[in-house]
Amino acid sequence: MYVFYPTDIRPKKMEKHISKHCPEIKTIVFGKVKDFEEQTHRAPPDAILSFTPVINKNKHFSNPYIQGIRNELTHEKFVLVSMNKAIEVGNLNSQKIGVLDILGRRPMTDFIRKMLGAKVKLSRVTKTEDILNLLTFGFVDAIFVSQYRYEKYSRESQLPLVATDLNIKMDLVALAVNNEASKNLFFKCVNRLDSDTNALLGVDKWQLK
Amino acid sequence: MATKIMLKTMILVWIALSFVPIMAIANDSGVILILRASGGKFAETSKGIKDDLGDDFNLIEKVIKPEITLRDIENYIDTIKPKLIVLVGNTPIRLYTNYQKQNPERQFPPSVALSALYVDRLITQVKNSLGIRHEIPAVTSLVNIRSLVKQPVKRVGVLYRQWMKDYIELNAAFCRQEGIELVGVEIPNSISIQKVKYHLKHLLNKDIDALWVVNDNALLSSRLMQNVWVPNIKQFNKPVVVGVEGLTATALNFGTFSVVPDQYALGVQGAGLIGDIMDEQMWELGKNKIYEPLSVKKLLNLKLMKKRNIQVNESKLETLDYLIQ
Repeated sequence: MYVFYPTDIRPKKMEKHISKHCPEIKTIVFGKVKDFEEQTHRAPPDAILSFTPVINKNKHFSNPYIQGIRNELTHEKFVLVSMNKAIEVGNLNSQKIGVLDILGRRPMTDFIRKMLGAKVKLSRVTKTEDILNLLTFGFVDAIFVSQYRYEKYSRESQLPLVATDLNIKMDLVALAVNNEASKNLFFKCVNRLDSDTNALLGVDKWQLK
Repeated sequence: MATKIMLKTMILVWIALSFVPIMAIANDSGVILILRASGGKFAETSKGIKDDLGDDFNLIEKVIKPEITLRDIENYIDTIKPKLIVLVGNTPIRLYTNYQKQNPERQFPPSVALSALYVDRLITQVKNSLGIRHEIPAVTSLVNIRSLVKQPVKRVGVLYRQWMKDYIELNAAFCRQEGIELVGVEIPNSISIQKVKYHLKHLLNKDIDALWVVNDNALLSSRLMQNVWVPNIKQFNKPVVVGVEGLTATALNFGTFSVVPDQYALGVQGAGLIGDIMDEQMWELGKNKIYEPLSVKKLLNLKLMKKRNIQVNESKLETLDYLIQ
């Protein structure tokens, strides 16, 4: 199973967490988009645990079979977070927006522009912990993050953060398999993950799709 | 005779073929030339750039070894005709600066400088350039240590030489946004053991919650480390944040937390700027603009933290890259 889902801990540590609960599955956790894509191409896995847009990019894994859930929801709200004052959603063209890069340069730009419905400029980071720095150093007008992340940043940082609602929702972490027969094996695995590991993945339980 | 003609033909074909890529490159206006210093960390930065831009642009990398001369740089630029030059490390920046000085009549493509110490000072002499600083801003290091320890980190001391004044003021402004006060003690550029000892003692008595040690070779010379820093820090039971991993070695008994650039992520950050320039979305060249690095690697010396009775949030230890325990 390949996992590409940047969290607050290092990939090797996440690998240990998952492997502890799923010893029967060889799990590799990637921290870099390129490494994940190259390895997926070179040695295709049996399952991918990631964001739905990442899964959909791979033709062998077009449909996630197992969906993460938090508070009984399969998706989460996304917001634009700026400093001091809310960003004007009606006028996003040419605004510089910070994002966590999960797809690579061009696909990520296309994806975010489509989501926001505006020709925004992007500033990308590779780790979740770096995204707030984009605001601290004034590199962007706002960052595009989940409401869940925004709440976490508000607790940990003293920056004057302001969230602007976008009415955009995205699926929580999901798992796709390339062979439907093996989905129960992976479903059992994710159901054994403890609450700490699930929390790192932003979910509290899993369901079959 | 026939063999000789065949051999000649083969050589001619081989020469022609070997020129094909260069000719193709010369005709391609989208080539990015990476001039990077040799060594693992520079290779890692370069990998970040190539991973991020490799699918969209033609990238050619030249490793600047000690034997590389200005003439070689000139040859690379004349042959490759890059649309943009990336300078990774101090040596390539220095060589390229000299190349510009020796060819004042030329037009220079945009350049982006990375992985060089005090790049802001270096690129003032480079035309049409911008860079990412290598030194990690205090706010990044201090927000991290604040989340790791169970004691407040509100007032943080820093000892610096006069030439760093602007840099310290910039850092103080970033820190203020996070509710951290940077308490600076400025000393003259010309220093002695006595002067540094006097000012460090004065700083440590200012009721500070942590010490941020700036990367300044003169201030951190082995003589000063041995005679001033290490003996005075022994009694300071609060976090000591450094910007060099070696300063957190247990045997040194000095730094408790080091924060250094993530070289790969630095390359990806640079790639973002390069991509913007290549896509003609950025118009800030010419101002020698300097950006702060975004991503870091963190090392905590838990052994020293415990020795100094500094309580740590165990749940945060997994966010670290390295842990000494």
